[in-house]
Amino acid sequence: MKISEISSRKQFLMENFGEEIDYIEWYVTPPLLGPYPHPYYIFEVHPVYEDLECFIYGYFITSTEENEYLLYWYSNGEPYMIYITPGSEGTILQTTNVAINKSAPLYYGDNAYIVALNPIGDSQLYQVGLLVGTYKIVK
Amino acid sequence: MRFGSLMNEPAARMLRYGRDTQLGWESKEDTTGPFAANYELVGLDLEPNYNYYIYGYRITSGEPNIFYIRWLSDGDVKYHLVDFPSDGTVVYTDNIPINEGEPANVRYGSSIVRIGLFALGAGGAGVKYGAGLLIGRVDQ
Repeated sequence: MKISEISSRKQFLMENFGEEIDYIEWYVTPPLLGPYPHPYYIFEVHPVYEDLECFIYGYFITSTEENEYLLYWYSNGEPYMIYITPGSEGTILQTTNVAINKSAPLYYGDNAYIVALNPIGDSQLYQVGLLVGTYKIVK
Repeated sequence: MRFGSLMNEPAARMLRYGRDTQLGWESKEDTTGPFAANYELVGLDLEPNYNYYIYGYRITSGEPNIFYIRWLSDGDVKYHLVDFPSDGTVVYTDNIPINEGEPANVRYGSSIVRIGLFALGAGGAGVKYGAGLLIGRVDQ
């Protein structure tokens, strides 16, 4: 990538997401085939280095049966959660330009999870993911 | 002179899509069943030395089915599952591709050389299906 493109990419991220994130990526599981017990931690994501903080800008859930989910994360060791109740089987692909955890980003040592609250049935297909923006803390 | 030629088009694309790429819908005519399971409704051949980003898709299904988009990213097979519990249409687009971080690419000798959108279940006789992929391509 050329220097001008790096600068434009940075501007794109700033204009779209408001935080000075350096990088954004969809972290997605492979397709999962039930059965699994519950509560099942389908997915986990966390900052991989000490000088990173992570913002969640979207989630993706596909399931061939109805279930309920918890998006559960820690920020500086404090727990936060939101319930996601799709109401039926199907696909949800939701992104936002304001981070779901804007006031409670993940720091090094914190994790975020998507948890299925009900049992995952035999031969049922699931796939979940999170859109995560990462900011490199300048000390 | 086109108005667009007075603008900095690459810069505009960078701001709109996050990279200097021209998006295009890959589509083909609607498919009518019957067809076997894992039928490719639409796909795109990939060329080496490029990364392909999936900025969106459209699916129309005349019956319940499960769909998946499949591609190869740095040698690993990737999937995006879409479940249709009933008939219907979905059009999804975003300025962050669904494979951001895992672009589709191909190497010489790769077993999968396409981005494909497939129906997992067999299509019923006389049932209509339609699909499209919104793709942006950039140099590696």
